[in-house]
Amino acid sequence: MANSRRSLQMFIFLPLMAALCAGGPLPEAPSFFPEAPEDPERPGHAATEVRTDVGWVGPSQTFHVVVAITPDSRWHVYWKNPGASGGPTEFELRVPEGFTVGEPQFPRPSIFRSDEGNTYGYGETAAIFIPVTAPEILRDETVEIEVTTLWLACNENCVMGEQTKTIEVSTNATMKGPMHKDLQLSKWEEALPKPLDGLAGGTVTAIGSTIYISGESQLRPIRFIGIDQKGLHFEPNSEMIIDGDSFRLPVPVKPDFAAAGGDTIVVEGLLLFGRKNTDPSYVVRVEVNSTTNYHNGEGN
Amino acid sequence: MFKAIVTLSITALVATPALAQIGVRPLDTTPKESTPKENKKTVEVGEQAPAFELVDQNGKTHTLQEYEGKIVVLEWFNETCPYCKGTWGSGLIPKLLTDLQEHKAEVVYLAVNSSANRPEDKTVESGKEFLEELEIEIPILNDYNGKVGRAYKARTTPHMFVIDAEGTLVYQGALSDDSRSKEGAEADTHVLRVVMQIDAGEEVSPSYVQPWGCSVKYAREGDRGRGARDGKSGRGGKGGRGNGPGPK
Repeated sequence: MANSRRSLQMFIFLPLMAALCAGGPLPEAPSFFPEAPEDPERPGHAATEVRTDVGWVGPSQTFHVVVAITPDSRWHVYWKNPGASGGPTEFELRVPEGFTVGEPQFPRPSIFRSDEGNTYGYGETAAIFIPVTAPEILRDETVEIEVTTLWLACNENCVMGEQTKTIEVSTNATMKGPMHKDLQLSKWEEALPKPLDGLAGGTVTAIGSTIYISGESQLRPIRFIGIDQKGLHFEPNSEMIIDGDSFRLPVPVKPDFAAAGGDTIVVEGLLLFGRKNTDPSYVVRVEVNSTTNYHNGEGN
Repeated sequence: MFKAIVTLSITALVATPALAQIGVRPLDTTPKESTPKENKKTVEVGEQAPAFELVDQNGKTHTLQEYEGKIVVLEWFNETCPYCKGTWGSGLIPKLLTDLQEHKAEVVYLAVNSSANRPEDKTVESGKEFLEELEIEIPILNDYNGKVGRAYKARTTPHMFVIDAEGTLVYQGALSDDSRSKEGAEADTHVLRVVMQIDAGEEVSPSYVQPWGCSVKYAREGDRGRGARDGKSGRGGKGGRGNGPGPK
């Protein structure tokens, strides 16, 4: 895997270096772009910083590896679901034996409109929290965690990027470590979507081929971003029912259980309130089952 | 049909697109937060595929109608997109071309380039050089004005469409599940899977997998292309086969 990534990078850089060394003429740059050399320090038009949210790690303790990715000015990287086009930001973690890695938690993305549909991502620093759990038995020592971040950055063109950072984490055989609560971490944590049950009256149910999201909020607009997966496709949202602060949003889905390879599909998405990235957002997750709530498109 | 000589000259393969980025500062296209419109639906699987008439990199005209009775695979293509570089450079698509030849159904593979962020002649020439370096001969259809791409609602490069022998769209979406070409030429492709399902007389399932890749760099509405400076007109699609609607 690492080799294929390396070889892809070599595809790009070897010919570049060869041409430069040979002193050959460079192809004409498109005249409609002002000329400026690419920053050799940021070939992927983004950079990452990695830290943890814990002072040290104790037995069975869950902490987060926090990856802050910052795209270059005028460039953007993508959410885990890029939307109509683009590529997801992904992570590969190498952790010491016994440590386990959970699902990365992405902050609320911006919605970018394009002719072919909306895309979702970040034009500024986004901090992704990756949960890591230590084993029950630890020694007093320092361990290393290697984090590789892979992304697609786009502007007028797109480039793939990749950066590997290694951090050291102290482990303690007996005592769990204190969580960092500095201003930066608190701000990043605040941007993470919350569970839907944290919303007043927040519920989600699946009836037939529609999921219904309900709750109460004064913030508008209210939007839902579904995450497409194999065997699941979202239909355009239906009209929301508003009654004072209460809302009910029907989201039609198109499940294909054969393609999904099972009788159950976990429908996942993000419920967004307001327009700012600091406005609240909630994770929506519900099971659609072929036998209990989905029969030829009709609910029971 | 395919002359897929997979002796990849990797260096040459990406020299053009990589070098072409030197001295380029992208336009200010900082995405602005926007209220999402309802996502436009892609053309529905099961419907007649939109007809087209497009010219390839060698000046030959291709219509969908002329391939009636054959399976047609369309790949939305942009050789400057890193995903296309990966899928072609890793050998995945060259291997797919070879694999498709081994199936009983005759398969026509057409790349379509709807990119309009460079002058049209440069776009055509760059794609042609890309395939020449790979020593692969397939048509790259020039859809500079984007009419065919918009008719198919092609969103990404690559974005794959498979049309059966009756002219019905039976699959649209991702090339494979390996967007970053980690598995190289060994990745399973949805295109081959679909052709095998057609061969076997089975239902095509899944008929849609979310496509990944760079956005298609369409000409802006009412414009011929962001890179157009030469006064030539783009070619729209017309004609076609079956009862499929032509590009709007």
